[in-house]
Amino acid sequence: MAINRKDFLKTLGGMALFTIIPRRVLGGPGHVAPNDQLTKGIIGTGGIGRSSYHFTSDERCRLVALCDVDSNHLQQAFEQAKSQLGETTKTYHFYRDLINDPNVDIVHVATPPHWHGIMAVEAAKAGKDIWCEKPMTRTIGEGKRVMEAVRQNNRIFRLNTWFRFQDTFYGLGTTVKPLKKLVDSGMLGWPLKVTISGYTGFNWKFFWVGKENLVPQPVPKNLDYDLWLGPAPYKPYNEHRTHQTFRGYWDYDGGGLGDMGQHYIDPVQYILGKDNTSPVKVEVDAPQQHPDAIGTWRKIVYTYEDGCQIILQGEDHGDPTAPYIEGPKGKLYQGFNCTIPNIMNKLAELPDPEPQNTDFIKCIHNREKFALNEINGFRSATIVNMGLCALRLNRTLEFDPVALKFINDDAANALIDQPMRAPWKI
Amino acid sequence: MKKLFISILLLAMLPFAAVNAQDARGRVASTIVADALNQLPAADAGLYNQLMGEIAATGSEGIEMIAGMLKPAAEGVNNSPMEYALNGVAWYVTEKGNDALRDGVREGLRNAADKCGDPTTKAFLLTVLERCATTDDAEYFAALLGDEYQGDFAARALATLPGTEPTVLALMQEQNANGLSRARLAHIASYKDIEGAEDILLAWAAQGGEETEMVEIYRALASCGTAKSVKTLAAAAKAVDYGFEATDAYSSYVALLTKLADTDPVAALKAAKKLMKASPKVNVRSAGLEIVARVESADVLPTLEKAMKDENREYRVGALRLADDYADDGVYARFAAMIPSLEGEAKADVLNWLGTAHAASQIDAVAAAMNDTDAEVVASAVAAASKIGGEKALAAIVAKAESLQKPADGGDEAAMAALVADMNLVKDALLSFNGRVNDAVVEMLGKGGIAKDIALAVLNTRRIPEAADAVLAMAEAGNDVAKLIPNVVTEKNFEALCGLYESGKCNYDAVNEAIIDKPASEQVAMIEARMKKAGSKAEMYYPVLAATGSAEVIPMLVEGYKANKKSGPAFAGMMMVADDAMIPYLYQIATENADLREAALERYIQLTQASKKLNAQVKYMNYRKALEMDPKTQLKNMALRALSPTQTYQGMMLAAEYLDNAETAQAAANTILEIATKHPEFYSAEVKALLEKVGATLNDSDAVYKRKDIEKFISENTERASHSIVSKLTPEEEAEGFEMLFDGVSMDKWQGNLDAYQPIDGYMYVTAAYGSTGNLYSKKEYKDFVLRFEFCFDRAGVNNGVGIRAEMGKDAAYHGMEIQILDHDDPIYANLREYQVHGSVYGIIPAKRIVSPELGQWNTEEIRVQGDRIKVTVNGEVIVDGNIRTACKGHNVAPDGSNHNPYTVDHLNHPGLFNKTGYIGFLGHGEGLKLRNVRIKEL
Repeated sequence: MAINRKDFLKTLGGMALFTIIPRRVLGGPGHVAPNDQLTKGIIGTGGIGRSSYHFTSDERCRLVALCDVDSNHLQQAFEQAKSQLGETTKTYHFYRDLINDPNVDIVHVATPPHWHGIMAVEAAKAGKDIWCEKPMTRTIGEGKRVMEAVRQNNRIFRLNTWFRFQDTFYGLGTTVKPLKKLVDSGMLGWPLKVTISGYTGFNWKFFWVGKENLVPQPVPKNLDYDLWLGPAPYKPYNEHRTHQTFRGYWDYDGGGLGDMGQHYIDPVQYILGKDNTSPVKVEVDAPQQHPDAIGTWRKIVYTYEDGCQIILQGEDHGDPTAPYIEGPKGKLYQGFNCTIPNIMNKLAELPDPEPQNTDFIKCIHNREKFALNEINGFRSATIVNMGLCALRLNRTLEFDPVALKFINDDAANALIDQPMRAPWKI
Repeated sequence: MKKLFISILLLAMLPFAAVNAQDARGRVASTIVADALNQLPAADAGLYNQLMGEIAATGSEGIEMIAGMLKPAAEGVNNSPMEYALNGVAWYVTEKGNDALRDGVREGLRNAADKCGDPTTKAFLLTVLERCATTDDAEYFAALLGDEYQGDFAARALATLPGTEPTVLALMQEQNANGLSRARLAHIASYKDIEGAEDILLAWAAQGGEETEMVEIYRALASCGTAKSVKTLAAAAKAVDYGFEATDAYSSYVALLTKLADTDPVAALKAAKKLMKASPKVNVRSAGLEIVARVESADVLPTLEKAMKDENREYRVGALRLADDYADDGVYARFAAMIPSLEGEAKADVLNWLGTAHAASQIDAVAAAMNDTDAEVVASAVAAASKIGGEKALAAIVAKAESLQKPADGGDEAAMAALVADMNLVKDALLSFNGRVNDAVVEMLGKGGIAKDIALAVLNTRRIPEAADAVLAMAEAGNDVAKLIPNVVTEKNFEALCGLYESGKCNYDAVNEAIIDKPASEQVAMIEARMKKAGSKAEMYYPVLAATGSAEVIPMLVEGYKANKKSGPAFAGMMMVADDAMIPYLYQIATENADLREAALERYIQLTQASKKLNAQVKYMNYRKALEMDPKTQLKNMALRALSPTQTYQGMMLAAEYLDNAETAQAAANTILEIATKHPEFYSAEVKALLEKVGATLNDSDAVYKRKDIEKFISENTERASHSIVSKLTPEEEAEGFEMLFDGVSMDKWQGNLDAYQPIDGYMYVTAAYGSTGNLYSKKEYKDFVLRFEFCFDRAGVNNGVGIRAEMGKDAAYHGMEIQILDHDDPIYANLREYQVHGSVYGIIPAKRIVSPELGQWNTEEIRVQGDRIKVTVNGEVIVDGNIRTACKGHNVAPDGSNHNPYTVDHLNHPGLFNKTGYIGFLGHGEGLKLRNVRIKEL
């Protein structure tokens, strides 16, 4: 649409000016200089790697390479890239070949979580920037390694959950921004108690449970099972361990908590201003966990040093009238219902939270940290992983957020740094 | 069932010393193990700690017994109780206070692993041993390192266990003799810092080898090495051009230098400085710089400052991030002072850094940068000032706003774009400004020009009452600022607002906003008073009245609507009131006014849904009435979705009628799913078919999850739905004088643990309970009788029992009698005694061993008790027919007064065996037993 500039200038009122400039004169995606165009390769082209949110290619960032240890997945992804995105991608069986492809700028890790740590660290060592799916890592120790490698190799890292900066945050019916504003305003008082339950609008996906007594099966021809397992202990193949259902096994992920935990908890960490620390205690109420197959849990309670708490209600749904956030001076319920009258009005008088860097491509160009990065992403992944350790051990654990160790519990600390199956090492 | 509730305190420190030893309640290890396995997985931490304590207290005996029950997984057996037990106990003994039991468990696991022939099972046992192992197990694991299958498991244990360094070093020293893989030994060493290993590793490195071997040697040198290894790793890293590749030489080199930064800073610094220059790769230079910073601490600052002149942005920003560690006002000042001398991007880098750090001391430098010619620098400066906050920052941002000008008539598109970008920049800076901006925004409003435009844009979302006069004046003058007015007004503006509203210069919500802090009735009074003065414009106030949210305005609105029955302010007001009282009016409008029907119905559905007073049935009826009017698709879907929270059977079936229409199918499917899966009691073949259809219909982004929910629900409920009956006596039984004790529904004739014994769908289900208070007892006492019931094992290893002539709250096996109910063929009972099998009079008369019924199969049982004679018949087969007095030769207790009674088969005393009368009980712990049709005839 052509605009008559003269008329345009004459008629504009202040607000109009913000809305009617056509996108093409603003620069941005339409005007990317060729040497500014980035490229990415996706490792893991099963469910999430091929989902619409990630399987993209545009002028700012082109999809150029794919990798999977399942030749069927790889072939499907290759064809999807061609038909859907018009890209003829390189295909790799071995992830290191993708990481070392000089045409790949960004390594997108979309494998099961037991690979996230190794791949992110190796991508960092190879000088690549990283987009990593949640949960960030399956142990606290691996998360720490990722944090160190990203720092030492000076990389940009994005952990992929996004509710702290966009989209309606489940049962709250709003984005996280007004929540952050409300908490920062101090109107609810301090310390705060946040309850993540079905009654406050969050559903734990308890069908991510493993099966006991798996009978060994022959490995399908299309799957490199040894490489799929990678750092995980060798266990005979059964299809339930792998694609779609791997979340139910401790060796690869953390069940419903591993699946949804970082989605639900990361924004809470942001709201509470805990991006650089961790809870000092985790308590669980759960049936005993099987050594291989992940089960369900009733309740998990995290406590920070200042008394703030995050309460996860699982199969014990808890109090149906529980607020989402409870403070000494006020409560906030599902749908942003608040005990403080005219709350939206009051919030409208307050400054917005500090802006977050939510454009990953821009972050790579100007090297600013992405909104959810290796540091705060590590902290929210650690909340999930602390809970998983306590569940497995079926006991209360105390944690040192600086030393990143459990206090006086060697068995729990052994779960922080779990040795890998050789030759894999992080 | 025979289980004993034992005190862990008594037992914890008394591991079983010998086979056949008993615990405080007389249980041998095999009984303890079987009892525990039957209850696993433990439902909660309390039971978990109790059971694990009991197993651990049996020492190696119980552990080996449990491990011996594991069968190769390929046989399709149920290993899980044993897996829960072994893994749980391994972790249990690592908890503070349980240490005394640890050695016995370790010993048991080692012995069991040695005896185990199945590699996968053995690997499992080694994994469990690793969880509770100590340094003393190092040699045990070392001996397994050469094993093709177990070697990797042993290696991981050695890597993770503290204190294994001497063992690993010895293996490395003897590598020529023991023939172990260098790669494996080096891999273990790479988790350790083993003094004395470096020379061996360097020698291995010098000899060279496959990449798979070199990678481990280099990694081990990184963890065990000193300055002596620098040369080797530096050369190896250079040889692969500091890239990431199979030998990992580059990152091992960096790892070594990182370690040396603490242990040998001089060597680390020298090497790191070389590394910074060794490669043009920016991540390599950055890594070198990071190590230099580790060694030099604050002394690195000149190097970091120098980095600001580097042409690579990645390197510059990396240097700033390192400077964070030493940041104080002095450091901020040094970098801020460099800004004017830097290139554009580098200026932005420093400004971004100062902003993120909230470096308030550098606000002058930040403000100055707002006048830079480079747009990116300006953007960074404005954003940084916004984060830093304070008067100076705000003044600079306002000044920036005031400096912006519309391009002169000849401005091109690029100039326009630049202006818009700057305006957005300033607006965003003000909205998230670290502090109060109200006065500044008012000031900008007064300035006119671009600054005023920006101020208005701020007012679009920010509420600033100080701006009321300026904004209302603009409205009065005819500017279209209606959208902003609610963001500035307060009570003092009420009359002025009414004037603006009546002349069409603001919206009704501005009037409401002005008085929102007053109680609703006062708001209504103020509006009514104004209405009286408004003459012909009075009806404009219906929406204003409605927006107060007060129910007292409803009659006024209804009156207003009735005046013309058309769309207008009164109807608009009716549509706004959120009160149950509106619901019938809205339905009436929908039925009588075709023009307003859809709008009224939509609101009708919304209010019904929001109502806290209407019950689910009324809500269901309201939605049904709405759907019967066949409104447009959107409203149908709205009503269908609203049916879900009614959680009614009728709601589900109503939604089912809309499943076949593609436009309503998704809403209907979700509602059916959300109702059906929360109500197992609705479940039937019809609901199953409905759910299957729902699964096939759903196509939203969560459909995969939802289909899983459906599958799970159907599989859980199919069995339950197949029966649901109240048991009745047969005519014969009735004639004989039988009485129903449990008919599938009523627990009236029972007392005790009514929590754990629950009537569900026609049977009594034992959920879980344990201990002296955990049993169920008849209300009456019985002497001689025939007891008939049906039982079913719902899960493997069920263990329960029927108490006869039992004393309330005591162990019926000794204080009365216990007729065992036991799935005795389950592998966990491999070590069962004959007097413990199903049907036995526990410890007195062994039963004829039957084949354990299949899970899910219902069985009949009759227990006839007359005097000393006990007869037990299962599925028509007599399995006990004996005399309790002759069975123990009349000695229910030891004649010598001791605990050892040679006359009973379990050699224990049974003081209550000859009770004349007592309660009938179900003596249970652990889930999985179903009972039904329990009836009795007294003899």
